[in-house]
Amino acid sequence: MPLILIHSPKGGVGSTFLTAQIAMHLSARGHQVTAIDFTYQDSLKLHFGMLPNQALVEMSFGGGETMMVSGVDLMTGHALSRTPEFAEAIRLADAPLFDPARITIADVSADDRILKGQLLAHADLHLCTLLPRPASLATLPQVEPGTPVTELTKTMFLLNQLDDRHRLSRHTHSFIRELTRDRLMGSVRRDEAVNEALAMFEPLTKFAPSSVVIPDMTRIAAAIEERLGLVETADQPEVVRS
Amino acid sequence: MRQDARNLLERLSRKDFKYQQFADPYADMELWPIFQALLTDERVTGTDTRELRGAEVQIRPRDDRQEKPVEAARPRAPLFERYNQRAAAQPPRGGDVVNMRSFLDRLSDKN
Repeated sequence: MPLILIHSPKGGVGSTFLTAQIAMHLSARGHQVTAIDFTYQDSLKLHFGMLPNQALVEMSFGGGETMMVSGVDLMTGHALSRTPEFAEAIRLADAPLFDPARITIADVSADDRILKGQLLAHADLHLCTLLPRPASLATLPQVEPGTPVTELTKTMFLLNQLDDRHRLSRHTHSFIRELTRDRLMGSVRRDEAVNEALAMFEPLTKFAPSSVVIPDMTRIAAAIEERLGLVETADQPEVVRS
Repeated sequence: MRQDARNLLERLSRKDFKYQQFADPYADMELWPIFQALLTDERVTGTDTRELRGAEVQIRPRDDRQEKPVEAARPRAPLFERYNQRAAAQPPRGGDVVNMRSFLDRLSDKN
């Protein structure tokens, strides 16, 4: 089963939020999903409704505990990713780092470029989040240094926090769509309910089931399935669990 | 409010929707300088096209900083005066839609 790497060269663009949403939506569509928080911030769990003082289980070699939240096997891999054993396993690529029976989604910090490079070598799909803001767009050349954006093969883009009321947001959407062509996997509209759900320690699907973000994420999950060949037909009835 | 929008809202019986009519057609895309900078960046497009000039940057040995004369304090301008000056200056650059479209088309052909 595939490894999906979620990493953007710019922090604060919503990559962790999208990791959680993609994991929950793919799980709701019948897939076995593991989401691994490789960041020091340890904030992926908040998007699943967990509290800051609730600890995730540690990723480990060959088994260990599991923690299922909202249908997703959730763990932290930050400590393990700092060990020589992890680097060796990545280098040899023969250790069962990730469960072959599950879709694994890895959330990696913007500045953790070494880990990003290590995981990219094994990833089937790299999702790069962008915001319709200049500081985010200006990091496009750093998505994969040495390879022009227009020549990336594993990388697809997600445009987050779109707001059609603002001119730059509308124009950025058009620009990125033209620049990346079929590598723009989808866009997500901005909704304050995302922050409110976090503040309530509730998954978005439970706190704001009518949020515009949910149909946007449904389309993105379907596009990921299609891209990775996970389903024969992309259109399936969907029930998002909360 | 456009009549067709008014009719639609009445049919939906929704009083809580905000209505906004955009000055620019939705499909239009202005050539903001940030877009132009990316389109002329070889690391983005794989094409060496240097058309946009960035800020003038001077690189000097570190010691030169000590020799830099200290600029005399200028009389303080009223707060926010800079915004008045900007308003009186040229309007922001508008959209050179044709150029960007053709550039993107060329990029697409190359791919």
